[in-house]
Amino acid sequence: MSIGFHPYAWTLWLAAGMTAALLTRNPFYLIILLLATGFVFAALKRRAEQDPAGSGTGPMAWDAVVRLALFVWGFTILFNALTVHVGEHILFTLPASWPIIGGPITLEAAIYGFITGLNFVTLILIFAIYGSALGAQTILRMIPGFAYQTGVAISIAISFVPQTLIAWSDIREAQRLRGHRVKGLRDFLPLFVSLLSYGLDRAIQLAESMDARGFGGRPLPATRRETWLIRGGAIAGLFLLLIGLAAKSYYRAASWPGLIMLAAGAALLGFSLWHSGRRTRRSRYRRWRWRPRDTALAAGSGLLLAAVILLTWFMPKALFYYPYPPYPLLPDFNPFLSLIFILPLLPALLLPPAAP
Amino acid sequence: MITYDHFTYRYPDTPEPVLRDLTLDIPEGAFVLVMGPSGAGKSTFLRTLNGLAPHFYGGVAGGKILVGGRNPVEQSPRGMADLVGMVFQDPESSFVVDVVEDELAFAMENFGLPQELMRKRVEEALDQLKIAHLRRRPVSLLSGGEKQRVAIAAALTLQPDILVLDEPTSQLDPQAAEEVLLALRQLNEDLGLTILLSEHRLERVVHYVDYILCWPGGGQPPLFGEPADILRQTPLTPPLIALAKALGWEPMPLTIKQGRRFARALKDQLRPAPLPEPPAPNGHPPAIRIDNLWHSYPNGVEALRGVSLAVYAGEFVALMGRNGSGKTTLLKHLVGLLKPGRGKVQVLGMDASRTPTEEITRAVAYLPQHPGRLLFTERVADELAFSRRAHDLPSDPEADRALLRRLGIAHLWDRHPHDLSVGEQQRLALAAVLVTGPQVILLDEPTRGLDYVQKQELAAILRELRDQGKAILMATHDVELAAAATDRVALMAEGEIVVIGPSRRIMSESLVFASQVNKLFRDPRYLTPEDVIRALP
Amino acid sequence: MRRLSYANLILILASALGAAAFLSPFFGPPPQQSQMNAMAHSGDAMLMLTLVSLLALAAIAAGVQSNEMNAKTLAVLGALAAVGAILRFIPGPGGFSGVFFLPIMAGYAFGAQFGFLAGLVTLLASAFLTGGVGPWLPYQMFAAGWVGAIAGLIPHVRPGTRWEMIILAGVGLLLGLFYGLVMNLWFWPFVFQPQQAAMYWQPGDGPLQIVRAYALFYVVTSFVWDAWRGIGNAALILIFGAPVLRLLRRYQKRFHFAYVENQATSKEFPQPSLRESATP
Repeated sequence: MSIGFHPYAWTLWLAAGMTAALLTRNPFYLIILLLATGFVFAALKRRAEQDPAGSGTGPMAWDAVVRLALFVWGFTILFNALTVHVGEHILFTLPASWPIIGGPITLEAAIYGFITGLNFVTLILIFAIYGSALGAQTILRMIPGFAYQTGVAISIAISFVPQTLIAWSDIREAQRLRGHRVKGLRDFLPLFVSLLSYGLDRAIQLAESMDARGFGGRPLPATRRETWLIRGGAIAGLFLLLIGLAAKSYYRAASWPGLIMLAAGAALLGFSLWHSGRRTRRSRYRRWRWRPRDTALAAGSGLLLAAVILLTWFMPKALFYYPYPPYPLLPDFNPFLSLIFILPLLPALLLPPAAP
Repeated sequence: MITYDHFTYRYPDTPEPVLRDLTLDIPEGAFVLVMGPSGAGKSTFLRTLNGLAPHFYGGVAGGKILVGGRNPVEQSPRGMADLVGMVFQDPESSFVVDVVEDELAFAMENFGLPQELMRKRVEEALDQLKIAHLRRRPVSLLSGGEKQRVAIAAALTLQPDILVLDEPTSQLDPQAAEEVLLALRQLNEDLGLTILLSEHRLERVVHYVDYILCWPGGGQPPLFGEPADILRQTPLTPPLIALAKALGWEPMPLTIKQGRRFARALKDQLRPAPLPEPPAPNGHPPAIRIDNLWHSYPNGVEALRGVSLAVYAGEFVALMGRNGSGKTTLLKHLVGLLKPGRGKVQVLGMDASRTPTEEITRAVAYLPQHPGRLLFTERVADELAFSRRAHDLPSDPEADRALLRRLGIAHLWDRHPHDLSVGEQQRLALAAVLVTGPQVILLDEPTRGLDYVQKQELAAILRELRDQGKAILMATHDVELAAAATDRVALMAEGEIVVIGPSRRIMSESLVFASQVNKLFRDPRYLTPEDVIRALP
Repeated sequence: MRRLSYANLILILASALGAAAFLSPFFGPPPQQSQMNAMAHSGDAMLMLTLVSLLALAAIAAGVQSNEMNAKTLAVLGALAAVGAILRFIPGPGGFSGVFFLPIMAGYAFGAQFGFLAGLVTLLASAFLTGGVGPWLPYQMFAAGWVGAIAGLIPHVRPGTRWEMIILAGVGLLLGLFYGLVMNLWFWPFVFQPQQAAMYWQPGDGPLQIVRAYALFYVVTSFVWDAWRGIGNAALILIFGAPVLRLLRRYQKRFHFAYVENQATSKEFPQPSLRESATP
């Protein structure tokens, strides 16, 4: 299940949107980004309502996502405005004797909270869109070979949740039949233990069925050399990452040696992971089709990703904004730059109509 | 094909081995029925065929075992997957992915087969099991019979030589069970697949299996041989065979068709008692009284449409009908788990829609479909104490022990309820709801997973309770149990009671709900083997 | 002392890397660049740390896989995570969350490695369900994994007694606080509040100053919140701990078996009294 686009195209869209939302502090660009993702969110929601069976996650709590986003936004604004008493534009003043929140409440602090909230809200929307467009099963199917087993454990957990909820009401019913009333926390004991034991029983049954159908395949017999390559690569990679991280953090002035070590460590680890993933013979039944609209989405997302990373690297001030003095209260706005933040809108424009 | 040589297996925590010194040889292409009382080791034996036992159950295994030239204990289930396909009792908990097609491909993906081959085999399996129309459906939305056929198809895509099925029909209604068993018969005939099947409803399969492997239970070694030979030696037989054995019919008839010949010859010699008059209402108000009951589920399905029913003290009534005809919904109303949309439900004078379930169940015992769900504690004895405590009754271990003794499970007093067999769990659950001394007993499919002997014991217990003046209402698919024990039968369809009347009349007028003996004689005076034997001159 | 397995070595190294990612903003002398530049790079520093911790998690996943994890372990992990994820929805005061109860119990019963995975998978599954997926997730996975792993490291004192549960409840209380303490770190170094110097970290602070500032921040903003989580853990362990532990140990027995091919020489079985061949 993947709504509208190839799962890899969606994943690139996710990466681009997430990076943009994380690296941008300029509220104008962030608002454009939020509007663009908001449109995609609305388009998917409309489609899910038309065709409930076609949605990846099934009935998704669309409104709950919006409520969560608004709550987070309100909270960050309030928290920041109440705890940071800095700025020239004072809205009102709380008695100084109140701990922490006492003092002037400023416009600058509220704006800072507003922007932080904007970052979060955009991220929440982007991930909600991704989750509902692909569904957990498809996302897990993209997990590469080396992490396949962990992916299976997660996929089991997710598919067990609705079953566990049904079991919960069954068990509750059974207990009422036995005359058991739940008055305090302790009365949940038989309920909870039954639920867990039911879950574990089911897990063993599922595992039996998986093993009986050859789960895990037959790993290709690894030569000694291969084992050393994989294990050595992983261990050396982790060491390099560790040292690189320390070096980069300690020598802030010259961060490139650290960066090189990080990159080398990542490459070594990646090689080891890739190699160990290839050792299990697994094939894939599902065929995902790559269509022209996937190319368009991938290109647009790639452009956004590249632009944001390059800007952050070479023109850090372009996407940056800081409301507190001595910086100006009004953020910069570059109309050309703002255009790239419209790119995440692409799925809403290219989304094919739901099949009748 | 399959060879056991002095093979022994013991679970952790139990002193005695389940499989003791087993020596056995099963030829290629055989269709083998595995039978025996529940708890005798059928499941365990089937699971040793691909190594699930001991790999998933721990314990100790010993001796030699060869399945298709491999040793499953050493190979592990994973290494046996391309040789032995396995289908379990509850298909739902064996599904790994969400869509039918992907479920079929799962085993092949694990073996890294190329995509073209996978596509071809998925198509073949879909056709073999006649489920091509379900290919894109989520498995969770399928009916029970469809799910089980998907599970079989999924076990076949690796093209194993052996297919093992552990009670695949015990969760299905008779129609769906028939579909599954027919599909198996075809696989055996068309592909020469070796099939080992454990099944309680022998009457559906005995006539086309090649061999029967029967575990007598109690640590006895299994019997293996031609169906007729084995059936002569075991008490676990369907009514037709039981009658044939009692009357010495030879060659032993395995189907109604074969039995008719003997029945025709016998019929004129029988001197049956006249049909008993249905007992007149004794003037007391009914224990259960349902007036014009309607119920719709939140998803809009009308589950009950104007049902009226009265059940009197000292009466045993069966509710029969397809899955989804409203039997369970009706029973749940009687203890207040569901509230009526319209209509009135009264139990022992209580208004079931106003009285809390916890209070009703003090006087009304309800045994739900999965009795295992009813058990919460870590010790058999604690189950009964739990019920007493919940209903604010004083603890009384002596009475508890007496109740368990009557149900034949007193020796399990200290065991963990989860370690019991299905039949034992079922009786323990019954004990747990009977401990309050209820006047009304409600049962939902109480014979699932029970063998013939256990069914007869259950029927005897229920008749005894009925004779003590309890009112019993039982939803069931089990024609033989209804024939053997009930006074009246109500047939339900689409949320309505289509017909209700004395069991003998209803069950001999129907084709689907006729018992085996009744099908032989087509006479309301003969429903059970006992009816016939009593009428012998 | 058992030999250190490859999977455990990877787990330890990756945990160290995760810890370094949590703490890295605190190393180091004051920045030479303008403060504005430092702040402009806070976003990409966060992104980089997220990537590094993702890599560390990937290494753990691959390390465990090489350990021949079987379907049984995975399915039990999945079932625990499913129930754990549902426990997340139990309402409670402050930072109370039922999510940690099962990872703690599973870690205690099955060991640190399983505990780490139980925490990680539980958190990930519940994030998928609640839509709480985001850049904070790798940190949460690490923090929850550590909670399970630490529970797996504490010694089993007087198994089966009341004391065992009381000790475990104490550990649960501390782990509840620990999770909050760790999780705050994913954003705290990046919240530049030069004006609230006492509560926030300034580039160039010495270790002592950092700890003092963080302690103040923690006490003010999150201690009460996290205390509820700790109390919740302890309460859940005291009420449900003993039966849940018994249940988990029942399943543990099924993880091992013995096979004796020539049973005549074995004392595992009583000598069979019946020797009857059942060949047709």
